[in-house]
Amino acid sequence: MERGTSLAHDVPMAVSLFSVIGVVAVLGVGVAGIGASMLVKDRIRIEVYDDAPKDDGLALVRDDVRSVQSDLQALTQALSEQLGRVGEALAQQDQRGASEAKSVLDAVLNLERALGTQTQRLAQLEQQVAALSLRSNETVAEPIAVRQAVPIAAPVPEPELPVPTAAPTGEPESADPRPAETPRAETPPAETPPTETAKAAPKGKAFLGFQLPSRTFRFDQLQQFEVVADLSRVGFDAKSTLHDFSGVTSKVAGGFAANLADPATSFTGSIACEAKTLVTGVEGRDTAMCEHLDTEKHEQIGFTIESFTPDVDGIDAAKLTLAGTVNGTFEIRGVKKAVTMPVKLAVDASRRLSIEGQTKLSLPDFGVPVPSQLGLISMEPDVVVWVALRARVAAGAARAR
Amino acid sequence: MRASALLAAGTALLMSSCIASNVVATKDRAVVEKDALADVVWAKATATDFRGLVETIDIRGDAALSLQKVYYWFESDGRYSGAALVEQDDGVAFQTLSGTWSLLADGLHLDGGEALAAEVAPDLLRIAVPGGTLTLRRTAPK
Repeated sequence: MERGTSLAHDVPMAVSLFSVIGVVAVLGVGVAGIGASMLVKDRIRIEVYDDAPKDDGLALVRDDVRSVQSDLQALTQALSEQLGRVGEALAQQDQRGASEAKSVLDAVLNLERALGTQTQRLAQLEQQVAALSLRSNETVAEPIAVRQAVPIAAPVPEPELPVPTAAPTGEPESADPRPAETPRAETPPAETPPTETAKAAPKGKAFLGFQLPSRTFRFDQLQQFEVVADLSRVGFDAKSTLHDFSGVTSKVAGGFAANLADPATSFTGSIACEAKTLVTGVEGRDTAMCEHLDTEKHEQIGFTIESFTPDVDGIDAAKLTLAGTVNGTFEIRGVKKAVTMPVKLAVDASRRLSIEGQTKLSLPDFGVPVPSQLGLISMEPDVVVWVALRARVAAGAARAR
Repeated sequence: MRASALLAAGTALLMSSCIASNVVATKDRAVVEKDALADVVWAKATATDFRGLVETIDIRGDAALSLQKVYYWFESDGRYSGAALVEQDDGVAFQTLSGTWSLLADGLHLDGGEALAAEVAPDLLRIAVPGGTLTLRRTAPK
């Protein structure tokens, strides 16, 4: 019984003991933990590792490449957009530049035209002033000699003079071997201002100080030509029993309108000579010829140009030549007959048109008696009629152009 | 009768052999002797060449379309006077002008203008200008 009592008494004590021990243990653990943490707090390193699969560098590279590609695409797109803008800007600039250049060119042309107009007006004013000056001085101009007919050279190349290039030296020429009439003749003033009233047009629009209308020979345009009698001849060659002879005259006149580059469409006119002025070199024969041609009634021998048929390759605009056949009507002794005459035309250095051609005519066709002396000395009925004409662009033709 | 006819025929035949042909050659039909100035030897002009009256005998270039004749009178003291027969749209008229001339190393200067090429030959003077060339012959005033 005592034993039981003591046992019952000992159990609660054990429980309390164990509780105390437990609390002490927990506190000890806690203190130990705190102390341990105090001791090792600076030595703790926390590392966190990803659970994703490591390595696989190829995937990383791929990723990098994709990233670079993406960036590159973005850059390319941005660059193309920028280049497009630049191109548009350049195009606009070019358009503006072209427009500005055109406007500048137009302005220059307008200025040139205005300058030409003003120059002409200035020339006219100067002439008027000069005329007024002359009137105020009561100066009477002496009549000037009428133009003399001067045979001018036929087609020859334009002379080539040395082109002055050296700068003025201010020194007159003095190497002439001929004796001087006066001492000052050798040294004309180099830059003496004009002492006379110059009635010339302003320089630059003039030819040697003279005011000339601006004319140029136009091979490819319709122009009116007039025969220059002093430089023209027409005639015929005849054969007779005794000897052959020619009849010639320079009393020729007329003109024609022609587009030398297109003669088939535009070539008309008329040429005529004074029949009684034909000379053969034998006075008696000339008299007889006038009788046969009945020059008292039919003063002129005429040729009406109706059309022109150019030869194949007969038009040479570069060389200013033309070859072909003139078609027209010849009138001799009042009788008209259709005739063709092969001719060659060329423009000479003086911008004149030379026309040379010939054709054969039968005198009986025109009612002209064939001369015969006693039936022994007779002339052949066929004669060769020829022309050697010079024609120049007619005055006032520029107005027509 | 037959004898006289034979005589006349014989005479005609004899005469035909004696009388030269009087036909104008084709190359001589044109009025002007071609290349009349082709053989002229030109030399550089000197001051003494510009004296007295000269008249054109040849005008070349586009100026020939409107210039019919040009006269120049050169004074030895450097003055000159000129007259040109100009064919204008409203007719032909003389233009006259006066001024000064000088011959420098680079050519002839009229009124102090640009140099013009000037060459001479006996009794001839040639002046080249853009647009034409004048060949002038010395002449005497009447």
